[in-house]
Amino acid sequence: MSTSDATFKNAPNASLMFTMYSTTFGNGAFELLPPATGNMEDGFPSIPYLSLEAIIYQQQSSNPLSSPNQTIAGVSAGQQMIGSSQVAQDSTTTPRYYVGTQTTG
Amino acid sequence: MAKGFKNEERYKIHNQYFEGGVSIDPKIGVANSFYQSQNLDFRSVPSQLSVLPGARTVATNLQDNLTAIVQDVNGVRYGVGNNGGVYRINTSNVVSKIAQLDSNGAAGMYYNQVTDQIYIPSQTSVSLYGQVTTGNPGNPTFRSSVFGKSASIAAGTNQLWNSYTSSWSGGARNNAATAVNTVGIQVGITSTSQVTTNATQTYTLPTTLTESGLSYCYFSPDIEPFYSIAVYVTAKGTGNWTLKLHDSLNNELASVTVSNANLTSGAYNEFVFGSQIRATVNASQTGNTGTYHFHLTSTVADGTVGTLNASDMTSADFLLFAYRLVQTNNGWHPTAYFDGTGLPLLCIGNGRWLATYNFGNDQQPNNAQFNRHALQFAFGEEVCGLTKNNQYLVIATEKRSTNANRNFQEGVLYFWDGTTTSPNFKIPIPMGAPYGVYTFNNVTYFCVAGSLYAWSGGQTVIKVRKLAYQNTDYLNAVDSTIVNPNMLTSRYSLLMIGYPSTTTNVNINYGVWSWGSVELSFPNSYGYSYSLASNIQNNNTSGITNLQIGCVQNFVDNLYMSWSYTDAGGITRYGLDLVDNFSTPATSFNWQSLIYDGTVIYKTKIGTRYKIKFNSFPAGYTLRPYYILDRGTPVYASDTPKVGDTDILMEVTPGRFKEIQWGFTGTSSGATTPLVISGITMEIEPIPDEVDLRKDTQS
Repeated sequence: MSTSDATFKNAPNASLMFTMYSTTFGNGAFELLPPATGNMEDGFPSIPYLSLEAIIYQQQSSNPLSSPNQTIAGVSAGQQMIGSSQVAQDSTTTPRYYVGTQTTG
Repeated sequence: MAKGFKNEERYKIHNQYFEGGVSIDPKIGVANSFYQSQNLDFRSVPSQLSVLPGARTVATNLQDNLTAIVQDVNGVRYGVGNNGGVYRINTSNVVSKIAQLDSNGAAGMYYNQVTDQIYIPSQTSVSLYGQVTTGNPGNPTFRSSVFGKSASIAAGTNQLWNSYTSSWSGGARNNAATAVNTVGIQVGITSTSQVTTNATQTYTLPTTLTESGLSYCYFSPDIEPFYSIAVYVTAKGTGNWTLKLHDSLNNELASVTVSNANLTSGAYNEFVFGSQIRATVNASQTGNTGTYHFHLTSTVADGTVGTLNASDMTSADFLLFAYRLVQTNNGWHPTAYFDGTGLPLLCIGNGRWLATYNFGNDQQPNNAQFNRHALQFAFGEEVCGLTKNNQYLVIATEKRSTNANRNFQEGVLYFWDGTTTSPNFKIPIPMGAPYGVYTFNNVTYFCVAGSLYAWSGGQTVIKVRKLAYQNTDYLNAVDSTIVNPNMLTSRYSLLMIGYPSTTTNVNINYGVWSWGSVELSFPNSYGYSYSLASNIQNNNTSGITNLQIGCVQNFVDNLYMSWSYTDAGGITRYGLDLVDNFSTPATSFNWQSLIYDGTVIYKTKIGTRYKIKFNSFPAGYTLRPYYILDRGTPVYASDTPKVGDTDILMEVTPGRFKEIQWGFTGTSSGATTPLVISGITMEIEPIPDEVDLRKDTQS
């Protein structure tokens, strides 16, 4: 394998960022080995190196995880208290419509 | 580049760079990969192979296989073993047993540098050892099962059901929920002596059990697994008492009988279950269809139990005691420190729960300080590893069968930021149990079904590579491969993977495998870096069975590997191995190339010579080159280099082949410097004048 060929096959993985890879469908840019040409090679065949870091970077940028629901940054603990009531009364002050916790009557 | 057959120049298939590491395929891989290596460094200087330091056994006086190791601030290390032994590894690596847990160890251990205590979970409790560096140096105290059973003080057990408010807001059976110690602190209720009854009435025990009316006492527990129920006995009468625990379907969960002689009137009497009782906790509760209830009967109808209401067993005074930890099928309670809440927490995997301890009271934590059930996971899941990734605690769970021949294939990674009452998110791992979860360079690695996986953000996990197998087709045995919680560690900026802990797969070599690269220009690569000092890599070697690696833990330049096996005589051996800067070269090493066929497997070639080039051959080594023709038997060189030699040459004869592979094995004994190999070359005659396509039998 010549130096230029090796360089080509092991192109910097930053470029692989822009090729097709997803953890669902795998490496779309994988170099399929062509049928043997009949020429005898004087070395071992090789496949492109795909860096884990490149995949992680690509995955994080293209397939981000949803953030936890937080309405205030850094705060997700607390509670909301609803303890009041609303009463609609008629002209005789008789309750006609009640929202909330009825504590009497 | 490719050459035609007519080129009469002999080919030199030359391995001079090795940064590709071990390939998963025997013929193809990334550039400069090879098929196999053991105990060789191909990464530090990628243009050479050098023999790695070998492990040496520093202790065989153990009665355990260590499954977790920690270090105190003075450099003394401590390990806990699978059989519950706690060991001290002093700064000279002399190992001594210092304590025995109440049950088996659980692959968890945490050292708190402020309290100077080591927290050690066993199967159902947590023990403490300390102070290890201060206080009374050299004489720390072992406090067995400090975090043992404790009683529920929740309303669902402590108070009566109030049908008016539809809640457990009725009268309190006793003062457990408000009891304080002598200085006014509300500590955990670990003994009935801490509690005073509120019972003023009685219920006379019947001789037979009935599921009706006021004949049983129902409750809604907040903690599990149940250890016992202590009942306030007003008058024990003359009979033997039996407590039966039922669920809401009246299934009997436990039955405990205490003889009359062992009962005490005017006191709490504890009915201890024979084994832990698993339960659902904090279930939706609707009054007298309580999730659980118990009956009390006596062989003579003259005993009375204390109650709040006359002749009403539902108002009986009792205390529900529960274990702090669940006895799991996998036997593990992994530990991790986590402060996602902004407060320090000792997190302990607790079966289908995550338990947390806020270091609030080392002597007697209450149920809030030691929260058994801070997070819950699915029924049947058991925590098999803890690690951290960014702001999350990563909790790996598996389902573990009690039948080693019928394993589950389920796992989940849960992520928790510490501020919520349930995990923030989860990633199901349907491939199998995510073992050995460990974060390195903020990438969380774990082992599943023979492969290494990684996660570092995003929706999916990434299959990094095959560790040992892609499948177990044709294995002719049931595969059961387990990796303990503390089997992954980092050493010299590389990920070290102890693999496996146990396996029935005879194709897997036990050892420590490495993953990573020397720097960013070189690829991440994989290889077998450290074997056990004994170089035992498989069961059935010299009659050895039940080979196990308990844990792999690195401290800067110290790499520990714990192990056990049963020898041919049936005796189980335990030990601790160490690789450090005083280690001598590994006593055995080997390397094997990819298979070469010139990408013309149909054509016959001739191998002529095989040469290994190295730096001046050091004393104490042997090196035996070999080649393999057409996947046959290795043919070894008849001699080994002499001290000072710089190469060894081997004739390949008879050398006609379609496929050829080459390699070497070596040994060292008394060597102090590494053997450095700088080139491995096979010479090939392409014989271009021969007809290419012929029957193999004609070659």
